[in-house]
Amino acid sequence: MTDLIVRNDLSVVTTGSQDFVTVLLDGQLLGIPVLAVHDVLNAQVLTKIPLAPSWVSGVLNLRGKIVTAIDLRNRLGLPPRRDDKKSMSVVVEYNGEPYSLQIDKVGEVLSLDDQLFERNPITLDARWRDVSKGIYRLDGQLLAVLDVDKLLAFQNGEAAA
Amino acid sequence: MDDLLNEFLTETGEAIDVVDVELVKLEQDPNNKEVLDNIFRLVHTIKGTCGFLGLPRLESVAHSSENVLGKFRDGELEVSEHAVTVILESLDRIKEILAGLEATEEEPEGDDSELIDRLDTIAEGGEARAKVAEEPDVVDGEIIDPTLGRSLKPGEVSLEELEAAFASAPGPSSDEAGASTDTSTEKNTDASTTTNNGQGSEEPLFDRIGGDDTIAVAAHQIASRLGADLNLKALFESQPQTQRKDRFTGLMIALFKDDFVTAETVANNLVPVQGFGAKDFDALIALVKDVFKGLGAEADTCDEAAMVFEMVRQAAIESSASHAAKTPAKKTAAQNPKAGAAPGIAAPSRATQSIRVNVELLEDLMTMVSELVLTRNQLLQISRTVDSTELAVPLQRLSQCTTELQENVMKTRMQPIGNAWAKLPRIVRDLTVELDKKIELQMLGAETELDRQVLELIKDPLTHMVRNSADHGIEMPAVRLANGKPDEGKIVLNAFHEGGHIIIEIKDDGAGIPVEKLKGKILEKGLASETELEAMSDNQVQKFIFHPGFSTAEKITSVSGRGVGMDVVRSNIEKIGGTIDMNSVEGKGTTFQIKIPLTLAIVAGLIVEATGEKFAIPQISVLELVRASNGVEGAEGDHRIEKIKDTPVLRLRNRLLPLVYMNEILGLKSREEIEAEEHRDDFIVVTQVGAFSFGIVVDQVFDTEEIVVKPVAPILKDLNVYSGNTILGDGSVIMILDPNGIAAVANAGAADHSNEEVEEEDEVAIAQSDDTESVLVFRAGGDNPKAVPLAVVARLEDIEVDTIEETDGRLLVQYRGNLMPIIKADPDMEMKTTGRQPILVFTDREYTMGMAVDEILDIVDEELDIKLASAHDGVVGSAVIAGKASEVIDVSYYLGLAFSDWLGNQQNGSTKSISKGASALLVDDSDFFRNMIRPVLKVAGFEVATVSSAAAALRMQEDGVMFDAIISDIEMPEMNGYEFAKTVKAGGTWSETPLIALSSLATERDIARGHDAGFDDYVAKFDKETLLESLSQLLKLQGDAA
Repeated sequence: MTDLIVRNDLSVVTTGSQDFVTVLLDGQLLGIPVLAVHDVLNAQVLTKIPLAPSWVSGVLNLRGKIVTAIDLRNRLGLPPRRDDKKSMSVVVEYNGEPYSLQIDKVGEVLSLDDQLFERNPITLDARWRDVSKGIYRLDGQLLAVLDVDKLLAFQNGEAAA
Repeated sequence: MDDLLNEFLTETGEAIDVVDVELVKLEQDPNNKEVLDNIFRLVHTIKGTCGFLGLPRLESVAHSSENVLGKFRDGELEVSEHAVTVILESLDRIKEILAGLEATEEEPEGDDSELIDRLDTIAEGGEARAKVAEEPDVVDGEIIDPTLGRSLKPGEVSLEELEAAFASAPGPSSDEAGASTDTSTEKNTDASTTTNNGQGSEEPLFDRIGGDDTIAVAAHQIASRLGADLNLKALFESQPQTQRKDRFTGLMIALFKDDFVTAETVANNLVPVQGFGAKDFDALIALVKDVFKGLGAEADTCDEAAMVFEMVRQAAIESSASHAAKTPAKKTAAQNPKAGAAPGIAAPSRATQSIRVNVELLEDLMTMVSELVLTRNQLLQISRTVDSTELAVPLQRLSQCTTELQENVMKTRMQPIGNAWAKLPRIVRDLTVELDKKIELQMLGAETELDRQVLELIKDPLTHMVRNSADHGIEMPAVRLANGKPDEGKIVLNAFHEGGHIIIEIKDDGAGIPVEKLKGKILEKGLASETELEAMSDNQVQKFIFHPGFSTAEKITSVSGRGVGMDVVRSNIEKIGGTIDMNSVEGKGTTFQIKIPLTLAIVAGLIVEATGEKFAIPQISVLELVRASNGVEGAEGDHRIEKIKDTPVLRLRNRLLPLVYMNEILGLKSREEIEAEEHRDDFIVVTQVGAFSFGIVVDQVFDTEEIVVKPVAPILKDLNVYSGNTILGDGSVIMILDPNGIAAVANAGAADHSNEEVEEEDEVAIAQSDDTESVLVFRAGGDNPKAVPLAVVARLEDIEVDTIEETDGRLLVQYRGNLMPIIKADPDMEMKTTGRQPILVFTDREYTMGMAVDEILDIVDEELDIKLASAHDGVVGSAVIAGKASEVIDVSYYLGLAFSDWLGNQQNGSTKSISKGASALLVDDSDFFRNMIRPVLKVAGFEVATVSSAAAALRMQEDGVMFDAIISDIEMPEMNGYEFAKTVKAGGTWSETPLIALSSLATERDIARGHDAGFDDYVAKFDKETLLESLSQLLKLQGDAA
């Protein structure tokens, strides 16, 4: 069901739709490709790791597997949560290792038309630009698509440097 | 070689069993190409392997069978019953030889020319003729055997027949010279030939031995003396003495009259119970020989008699073995009408003794069991809080089973430590020659088993230490004699279990470690001050040899003294959670003691707490627990934390123990916060890391738990203080502390010399990644560091500047009796004018050169990933090493500078000239071959990856893995080498990669076919030299093209 169409600005887009798990982080709606998501968890007991980078909030036990928890707010340069509510998490995999992204809240799963897709505005915060694949124009709000690979690869690069 | 042979035997045994079955299938369905291909491949593999191992007899038989099979395959020959029979026969022969090989580790002697002739005749299409030659043989076996076998009753019956035979035997004629001819022919496995000879002009053995009477006496003696040998007694006990006697009489008469068919029938009934092996038969023969000697027979005749007994060896042994299965013995005899050397009764026993299991499967099992242990622990934890007796019993049972399962799975991964020692006797022997010392190497407890993974990791450190002992430890014979010791030095390796650990001791009775000399060196290197040294015990001083960059040998030898010795050993051992200790008495000798865990997968961990967070400390590094009170004046109790300036210490049994606060190390609390708290109880975990003991102050200590170490996520790998993480019984995740890392952090802020230890720990951490190699970093002319792989550096030297001479515009130094040219690492650098000049020594074949550098900076383990190639001569390119851009130098360029003829020689196809680090992929379906060729390539400097099938290789291609060369077998299941080559060359990322066929199918046609398929070269399988040459040629070609 994908067709190529030429839009007014001469950019070529495919038509079709993608499914995303939407999550809420500091009021911003983010989308994670649904196939990348392994689990969605409620608040979990985290074991803190002293000396770890600040964006690693700890490790948790997911059915016998040890999962590293990433503080997504910290990672994206957002302020820490002020309300007392517990963070939820979305488990994704990178290089065969499971990671849990700590987010405020999980929303619904949306199937979004490709025609709604835009590339990142060039003025977007550099930290976001690196990890966002692009933006979907939704009714009343925008949804940034998280590039999970880049999100987690960045940390390796930083650690090695 | 033992290992190789063993593997070969297992593999070939399996292959033969398959061929047996397949051949029968083929006979029924001669047009089944798949079956034929399979048979051909198996026989072919056997042949190839034999060639490699140097087993000519086996190879020639396999070769001839393969020839015939090859003709079948190419359609040049019809599959006929007769041909299959002969091939089956040749398989039996292969089995026979294998059995002999297994028993003696040598190919048994024998002549296969007759069999080979028949095979060759078939191959040439001369089936008809072969059939004629074959007929009498077969008929012979079939007719005679059943008649005798049916009517035979143990002892008497056959005796009667023999008497009759005796009566018709040709009369005596004394021809002593015939004895030797007789002996040699009797060894021949063909019974009919022997019979002919026996009936020839010479006097039969029967008469020479003394006829009926002597034999009767001999049989009586043998029968009664059987009781004297314990083993034999057990075997023959069940028969009454008279019956024994009768049987031997019958057997001997038959044998000595060359009536082998009868003899075999008797022999089949000789031993009525199971368990009669080759050894017992040897004993029996010795006994027979002895008896005849006692009866006054001539020595030659005795030997001959013993020899003749060999003819029934197979029958006797087989019949004994078949007693268990209640198979009539004659069946075995009928199948094999010739009395040859013993075929393998060992073959089936080998199959039941072991099966081969994929290592991956074992690893998976291990992981699953580890998980099971974890879950069991969780259940046990829960059951403690739930009061249910109903649950307790099955849980107990589960717990027990899990423990047993765990132990057994562990056992499957165990290998005797002797495997790691196998190379040592040779190394020591070579050393004794090179160093002109006398050394005896004694190895105790070689059967002690430990985890495969651990074994791999300790191999190199052990070798290094034994070398050290031989080189530094043991004195020259003259010195030893002068010191009142025997001139032969002794190195003892001892391995044993002790409380869940393996202890390995390396003990020599050499000079010990000279404390005074060491002190001088320590001062020179600035590792400690004079006052510090004063305060140290000899033992503490000696332990400085574990410091990085320490080498005590005055003279640096080729054996050791690269200055990267014991510290590397230590860090390697610590990497696997082991410890090393040393005890050395000057003049008496040195003992090293290595303590390593049995396995890496499951360890005991002590659970501690700091600021509400729990951590595990591996039990192996924990010496003891001490409870101390802190800072409170006049506090009671034995232990109190005291302070020197800001350094907390603990008095422990007249010793000051440095302390670290876990809270501080982990950044949970600052020192001020810790001191501001009122500590009533502090727990101090006394920890030992190598020779360094220290105390870790924690808030709380819980119990110990068995924990399964899981690696931390890659993004946390840089944290040295953790060695892994695990899930506890209560389901929570816990970080496992790495005492090495903590020691490193603790030392970071301390005295100067500890910095090295930190660096060393860093090294350890980095070294854990797989693709790293040791790189020597140095500075020469300019501030940018330069680097060279440590593997190519032969030695590091400090040479007195005064000894460097300049002739003919070149710098030279006298070095070990030779002139060694010295090249500056950078044309701009200036040589030192006073003091010592650091030199890197490179050696390639007979060429040795020194490279002058300004300063040797470090040795780091890092992935040598060259980012930018260089246009400069002598520089390979730039890489990031230890966080800095460094130039990686090209040693071959400098060797070329130093020796104008070096390059020339290099092109003469020397096998050593293959560049270091080139990668090769080896595709072969035989485990044996992969294991065999991999080291060959490794030694030549290749990084070797191996896969067992073309499909697996293609998967690697899909994954984007690149190699400098690919070596492929031809005969493989599913996709053979030709198809593989075609696929590879058809396009894709590997189409330009040199492709070498490695096969024992090396006829002209095969080679042409190989070239057609796209192979760049075609090498016979057992020709290592040509393989390496071909590789270096192809790589050079490619290099030239690029």
